[in-house]
Amino acid sequence: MDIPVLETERLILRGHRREDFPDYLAMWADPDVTRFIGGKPFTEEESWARFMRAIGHWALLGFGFWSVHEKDGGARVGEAGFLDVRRDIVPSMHDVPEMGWAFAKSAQGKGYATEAVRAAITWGESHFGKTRFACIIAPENAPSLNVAAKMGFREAARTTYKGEPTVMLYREP
Amino acid sequence: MTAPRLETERLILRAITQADFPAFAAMSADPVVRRYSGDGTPRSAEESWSSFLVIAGHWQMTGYGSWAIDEKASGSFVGEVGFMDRKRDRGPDLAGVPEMGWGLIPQAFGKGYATEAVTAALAWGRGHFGAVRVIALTTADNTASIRVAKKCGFAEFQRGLSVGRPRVFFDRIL
Repeated sequence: MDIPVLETERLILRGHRREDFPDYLAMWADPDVTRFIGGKPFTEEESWARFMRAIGHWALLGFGFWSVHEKDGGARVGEAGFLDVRRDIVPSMHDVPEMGWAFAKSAQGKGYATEAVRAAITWGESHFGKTRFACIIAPENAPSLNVAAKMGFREAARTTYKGEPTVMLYREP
Repeated sequence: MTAPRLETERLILRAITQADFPAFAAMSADPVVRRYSGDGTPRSAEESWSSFLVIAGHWQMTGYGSWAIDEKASGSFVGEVGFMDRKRDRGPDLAGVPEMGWGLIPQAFGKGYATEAVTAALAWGRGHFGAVRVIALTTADNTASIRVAKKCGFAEFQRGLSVGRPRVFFDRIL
């Protein structure tokens, strides 16, 4: 399928391309990025699987993650979007579109996550209709909790995922 | 791109669709199927879904990948076959070498389906990659798969660990 391209004031959100992989790999090998997501830097094998999953997700489900780039110069700064990874988690996230985002360390503190997530939400509201969105965030991940709060997400539950404590948040339509 | 449709005497090889997931997950959760693969344990639904998404994305990112196998007679999903680049750390000699894999549901064992599917995938691979080296791995006790590998022109070239378990490594030139 053709992955939609979204444009914000400073960013372009588009589907991942093979040539994005070196930047993708570098971002997910950074312990500052994985500290709150996954817990430890990803190996090349892990990143490659995740990268292919991101594109397969669009192909099978018609929604997914965008690769986020600065308009000025095109540098990859992170990723954001919707996912259904059939998490083994309670409460169940089944049938609730889940959002996620992650940004390279060099891109943090510029409001990029908020800008990208806002664009993704606008797309999601038209794609999924009037429905609740969910996300899960590590309780100590203050920057992401802040982005979620700004986007209207509110804490719904404290639970665990893969043995780690996590906060589940909902955004009502 | 997605997997091209290939046809053999008794099988159809085609791109996976979301409708295949229940059958794929059941196969991946079957201890008999999983005994010789990966870490040897049945996969959870979440793990299977992740692998399923990888299969869909692999074609898009590399132009090759895995097929779902349907039995013509019943029209039902009986397994998977294909080429993968997992970027698994196997040393410089094997970096970038496509790896073939195949798996069938237990009801499809013993009919020569794996050989038929692998033969069709190899023929496609020759056209796609040219005369390059491909590898296939299995555990030393997986006599059925070793027989398939040998019938399809693979020869053992080393033994070693993969995902923490001892494996036989086969290769051939397409």
